[in-house]
Amino acid sequence: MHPSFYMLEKELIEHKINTRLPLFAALCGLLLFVSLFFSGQAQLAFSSQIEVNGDMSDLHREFAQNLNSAIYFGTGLISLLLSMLYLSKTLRKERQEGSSMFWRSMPISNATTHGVKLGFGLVAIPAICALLVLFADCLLWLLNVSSEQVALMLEQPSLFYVLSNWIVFFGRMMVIALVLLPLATVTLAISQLVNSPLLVMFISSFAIKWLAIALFGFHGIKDFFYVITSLPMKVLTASNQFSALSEVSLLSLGIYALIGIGGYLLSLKLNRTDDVSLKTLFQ
Amino acid sequence: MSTLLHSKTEAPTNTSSTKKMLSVKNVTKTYSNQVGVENISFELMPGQVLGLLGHNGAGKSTLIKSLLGGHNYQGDIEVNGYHPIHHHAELMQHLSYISDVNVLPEWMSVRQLLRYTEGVHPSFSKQKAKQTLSNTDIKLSSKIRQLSKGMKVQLHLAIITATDTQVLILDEPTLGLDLLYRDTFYRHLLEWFHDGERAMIIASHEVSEIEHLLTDVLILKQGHCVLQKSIEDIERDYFIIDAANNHSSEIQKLQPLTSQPGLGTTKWLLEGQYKARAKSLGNVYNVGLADLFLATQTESA
Repeated sequence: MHPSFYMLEKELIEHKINTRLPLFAALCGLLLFVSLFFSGQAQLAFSSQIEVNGDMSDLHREFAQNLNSAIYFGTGLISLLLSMLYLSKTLRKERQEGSSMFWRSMPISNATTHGVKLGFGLVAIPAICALLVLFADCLLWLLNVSSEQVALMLEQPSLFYVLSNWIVFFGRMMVIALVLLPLATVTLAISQLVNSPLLVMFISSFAIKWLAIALFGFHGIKDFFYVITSLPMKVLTASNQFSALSEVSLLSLGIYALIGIGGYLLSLKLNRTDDVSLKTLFQ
Repeated sequence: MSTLLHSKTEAPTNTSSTKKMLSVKNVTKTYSNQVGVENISFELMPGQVLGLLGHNGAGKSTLIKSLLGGHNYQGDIEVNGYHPIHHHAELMQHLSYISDVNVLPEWMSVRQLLRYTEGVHPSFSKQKAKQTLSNTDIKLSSKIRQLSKGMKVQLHLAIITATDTQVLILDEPTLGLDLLYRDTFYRHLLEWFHDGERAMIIASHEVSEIEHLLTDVLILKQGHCVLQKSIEDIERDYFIIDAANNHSSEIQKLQPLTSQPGLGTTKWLLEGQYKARAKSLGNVYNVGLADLFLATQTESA
């Protein structure tokens, strides 16, 4: 097996929140399922609600779509949150807990370390969270086959649908990973310099965009930040993930990609030794 | 004393092979307001054990961290031809390291650590490590944070000795360990060392504890090299004379490096060139590394 496999396994053991939080969400989903499955009253309450609201034929389809979107949105949000939390602390944690010299004593290149950290943050975490979608769809499918009344409300007619929905969700998360990649490399770099990288990034992006407006009357930076920071959520919620990407200008994407490359090179340079400071960049 | 402080920085000579395992040339590391180490040079061949001695803050850990690629530095370092920073992954296939402070990840279990090391280190034998650990009280299921300091060192050593590397660096490895652990540690270390063509660097305060292991010595003081010799050269170049106090004025003329007053006699550390002249004045002994270490540290630079 390739060393990267063991490195990913190590990240999984080290950052337990990435498995525990989805597990907790799954447990909550399971409890909800059990209460729906075994409570006749709940089923009744469901149908009563829809009767009051009117036209059943369109509404049940709409409800099913909304339910699916809610699962997508909730799981995507958990995945994004976990990814950013992981990326903002993974390199710093090793230094803080004093184990960096042990990891440094392993025959692993700096580029491989970065590749694994980015892979874990942007691929492995969404993959774990995608299991949540699979789990939720499986529960809804069970609900679907168990009750004709509830079946009208759900979009999980077969196991094939459940599996294909899972793959579609993971594919969407991979587009988000691509969109997040430049931000992830910048986070890795900044996390080595400061203790609260997300806060620093948030405050500095605010400062930069408002300074640009106040000093030069230039709104380009504000627009750029808006486009870039809203892109992951747009990809997550858009009916077609690629349409969200195509709405962004090539110039903005180009600048964003360049910032990502800069962040990657900066992070590599900072992580080469334990002398982490801005001064070491020029040595 | 001046001869001692400015002794030549020649490469150690007692080698078993001509293959250079580690080469350090004019290495200097400065921090923002002070010198870490300055202009350090030495080479290590297979079979050599270099003792890196010095007080706290002398620069031992700075030099070691530079060897491991943990510091930016000026000068040249090569381990089997690899640069510590630019060829880090390749270099670490040949180099191992044990530190005084625990660097093992506390949140891992012993089993997980062995699995990880086996996965990423091509020359690590999990079977061998397990065999070594079976002779200790360390359980594979234990979390590293649950192990005592001595057990952590044993675990780290078990990993090192199960890895086929050529150069081992030890930074105060037995600090805080009881005598039993120390004895076991050095026994296992020597078994591993004699198991192949290897070289070692041992940094320690405990001069007397490591003296019998060393083939060469490099003594640091405030980042500077104050003595660099092979043990053979030290035995040839220095001696101790225990002489009655009435010979003191005569011995003073031989420019003693240090003196230690006793009851009616004084022990003097002298350079080897005066051995013949001093012989008739008292009892002559071979110099101990501790005496030489103290002499280099007490003398003002």
